[in-house]
Amino acid sequence: MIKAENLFYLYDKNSSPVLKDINLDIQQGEYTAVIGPNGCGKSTLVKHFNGLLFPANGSVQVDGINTTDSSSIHQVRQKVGMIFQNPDNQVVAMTVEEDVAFGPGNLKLPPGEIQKRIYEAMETAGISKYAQHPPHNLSGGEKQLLALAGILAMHPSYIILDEPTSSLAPDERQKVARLLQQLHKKGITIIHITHNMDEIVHADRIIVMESGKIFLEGPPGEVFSRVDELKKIGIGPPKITELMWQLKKAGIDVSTSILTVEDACKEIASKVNTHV
Amino acid sequence: MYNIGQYIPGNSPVHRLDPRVKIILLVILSIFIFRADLTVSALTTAFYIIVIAVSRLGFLRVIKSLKPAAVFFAFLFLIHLFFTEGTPVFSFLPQYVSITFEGLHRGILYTWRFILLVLSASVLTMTTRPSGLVSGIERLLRPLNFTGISSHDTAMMISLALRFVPTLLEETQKIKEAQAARGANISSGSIFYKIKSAAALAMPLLVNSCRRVDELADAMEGRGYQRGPRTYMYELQLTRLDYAALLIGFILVFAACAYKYF
Ligand SMILES: Nc1ncnc2c1ncn2[C@@H]1O[C@H](COP(=O)(O)OP(=O)(O)O)[C@@H](O)[C@H]1O
Ligand SMILES: [Mg+2]
Repeated sequence: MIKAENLFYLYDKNSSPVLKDINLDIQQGEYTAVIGPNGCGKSTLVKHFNGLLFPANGSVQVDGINTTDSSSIHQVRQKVGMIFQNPDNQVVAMTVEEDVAFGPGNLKLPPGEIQKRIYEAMETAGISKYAQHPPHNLSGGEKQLLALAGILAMHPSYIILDEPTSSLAPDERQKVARLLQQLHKKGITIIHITHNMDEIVHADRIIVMESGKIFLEGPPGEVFSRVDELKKIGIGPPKITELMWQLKKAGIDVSTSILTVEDACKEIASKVNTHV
Repeated sequence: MYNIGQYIPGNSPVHRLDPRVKIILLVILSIFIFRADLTVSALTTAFYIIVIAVSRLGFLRVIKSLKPAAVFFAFLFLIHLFFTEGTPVFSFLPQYVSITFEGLHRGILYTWRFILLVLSASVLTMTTRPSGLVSGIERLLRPLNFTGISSHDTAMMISLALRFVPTLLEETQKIKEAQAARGANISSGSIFYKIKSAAALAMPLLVNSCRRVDELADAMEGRGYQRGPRTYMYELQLTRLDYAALLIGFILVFAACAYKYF
């Protein structure tokens, strides 16, 4: 479990806090999405989860380890992997396989174990065929898969993704999103920051942030059905949810916690049938 | 597209030699080359012809890899050719410009040595994967760890620098194109204009690099990077081939010492 308690953070002593009294539990196995307008503190929040930033006040614990406990920081980094937005600036090596080997090498694993892990990880991410290639020849999406493989080789319990698909082409977005769901099924906890609502309709929980605070929190159906509140902070729910919401406003009594086209069809059909 | 001495994958004995051994042999050979006369240069050249054949690099490819240095080769040759005192062989403007026998000899020898040095480096990098080279350097520097120079940190630095070369080249190209699209033209105009354009190119490159470094540092730290010892996916291991190559290298050194070559 990742647990944040009364978490405050400021980049500058004189500025106002970027995170204001965040309290949050993320359970093992959960798929959590974090959304919110630009600059609301999403990246700042998740950087606390693997010890890239430390609370100015309050605490963050990963499986009971306080991230400020410097003797266990390597354990926190092994448990919690992090993928960033820009695929280029996460690559450290001159070949794909060696980039994947970077994390395990930092864990000081023996060469045999490193090789075993990186081949498994490259297989899972679907980039085995590029093992010997220089990473700069890969596409943006493939580079993100490479970054994921590099994290997977460390055998993490949690993977945080900070807008992993925002610089990718649509078909590549899907590939990454699909891999995330696959990893989630395997039991890895996913924390996914995104601006693309369609990627996270299957999430277990959505956390909406606004100016350093948690603004809304709950399952996607519940959060997205609060269209008025979301619009106030500049977030559009998935198109299909908004359609239901507009229908309801127009006087048709449909549920607004609908996330997929299929469910929307069923819901509308049932209403139409009862009216006839 | 081939950069200078880009790694060409292969499985020849030259490829399989331990990077440490190759680096040591390169150093020994370089010392020989520095002091080479025409005979030793010819012998070294013959040696490299064999090495290139054995490692199946392709002569054409190796020669191409020397191309970026061709201007320096020519410059070196001409300097010696025209500015060495001695017996004139040929003169355009008697008393002013003349080619001497000594100049010709020096020009050939010095240029040949220089070509051989660049060739050595080229063959090394073409037959050794960059990471192998980096771990080779790391292992060779380990004895210096007690001085405070960390071999692991040095290796990490070299490897990151190498990794970012293609990225920076790509970025330079992109910025150039973006500026060209807005009407800038770096390859024409006065010297002053060219310098100004180069500065306009360097600024965004520098700014981007700073942001890059910030993000890279986060990504590395996030993956558990700490300064100091770490492990690598390939462990360097000396084989019989390596011992044989080292032995030959050392015999050469001893022979050279015995004959007061050094
Ligand atoms: N390194 C930094 N130094 C100073 N201020 C920062 C830094 N990073 C982010 N901020 C500020 O903190 C706030 C939250 O940023 P961030 O966590 O990146 O938001 P988000 O990821 O939600 O877009 C923003 O106002 C941003 O300007
Ligand atoms: Mg962000």
